[in-house]
Amino acid sequence: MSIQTSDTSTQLERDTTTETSTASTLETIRRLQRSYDELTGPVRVLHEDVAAGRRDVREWDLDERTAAKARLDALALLEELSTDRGFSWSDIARLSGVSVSAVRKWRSGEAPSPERRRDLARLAAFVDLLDEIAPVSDPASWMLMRLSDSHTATAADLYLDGRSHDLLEHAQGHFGVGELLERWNPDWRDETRSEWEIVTAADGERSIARRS
Amino acid sequence: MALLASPDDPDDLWQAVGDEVPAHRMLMQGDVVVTDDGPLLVVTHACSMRRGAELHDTQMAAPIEDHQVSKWDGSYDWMPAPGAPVPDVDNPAGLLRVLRSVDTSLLVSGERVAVMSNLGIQLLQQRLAHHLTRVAIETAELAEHCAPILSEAELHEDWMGALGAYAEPQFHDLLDTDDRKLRSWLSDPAKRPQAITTVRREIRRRRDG
Repeated sequence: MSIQTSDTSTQLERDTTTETSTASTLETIRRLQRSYDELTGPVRVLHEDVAAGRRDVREWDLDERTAAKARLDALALLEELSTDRGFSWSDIARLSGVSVSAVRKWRSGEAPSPERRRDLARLAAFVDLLDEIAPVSDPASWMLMRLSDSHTATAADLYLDGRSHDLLEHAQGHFGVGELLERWNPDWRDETRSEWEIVTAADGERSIARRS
Repeated sequence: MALLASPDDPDDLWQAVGDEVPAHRMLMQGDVVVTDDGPLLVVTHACSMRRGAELHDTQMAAPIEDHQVSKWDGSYDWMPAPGAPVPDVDNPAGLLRVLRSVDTSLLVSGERVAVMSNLGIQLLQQRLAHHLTRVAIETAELAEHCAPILSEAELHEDWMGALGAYAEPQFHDLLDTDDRKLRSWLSDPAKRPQAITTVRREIRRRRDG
């Protein structure tokens, strides 16, 4: 039995059965149902295999890029992230898991530990990857802006929770914001809901006001 | 869940303490200053300290006292300041119940012994707002609101550190050119990195000459 999988093929089968008996039509329907039922399992496995393969290759890519970046000294990495990418020192510290004071010392020439240098390198590599494979014009702002207007979660929050792969998948369009946040934290809707917004007040300055 | 937030590590409160404090950093909310009138914690909101580039004549401050804050969530009258090197004070904390107006000159002439990190400033703002209104605002909201002025303060510090105090007017000129374009970018999260990149490249251009 050949397996027809496209809507068009199914429609053709339906057209050819229009004039046949009811019993024949029902048999065709059952045959198609069995075909699709039989396909469901293999397709799911194939989909999972493809997703896992994509994930492995991306991890490999990120690891290789991180290793290459880690050959740069800390000052060069800081310069790249701050001057070329536009991250604030505070953001760099947060995304590297250290205090602003530690970043200040690195800027003064103090060498970070190998682990911290690798964290810096990984951030720089991740931003490069984001820039290269995903349609994100400004990776720094993409990472620091809210993912959803009515919730405070940002890509930076997810990055810090080890979700770099999910972020890259999302940035490439493999799934939407809802699924991204669901994978991160099933309670994200309640835990990050924002009832406030920033408005320009009558004096021209920014204020925080309850969302209307 | 705690009503008010606290740092994972007390060190996270500070951007710099003691000798690390850059002399050229602009006076900012969360600074700890040892003055002739005792140690003070500056609490005026970061956005309300200046008119343009000029500091207002007075600022709001809380006295720093020696007080062991047993728990962050609950001691609502206090802003704990562990790690701020205040002479003769083992457990520094700002007493929010005794907020007062002080002359800016008192702060400028004092010895600044600690400056808060962005996180420290957000925690201070949260405690201050709660102390005055009993409204607990998430620090994530406060962080978004303050990001433009704190980014400007950071760039100002970089500018002054690289180019010297005499170059300060050019910093404000740069932000104000083209109908205040860079200030507008700093206020827009989508364009803030562009503003940061523009200013840092200008610093590099001027420094390397």
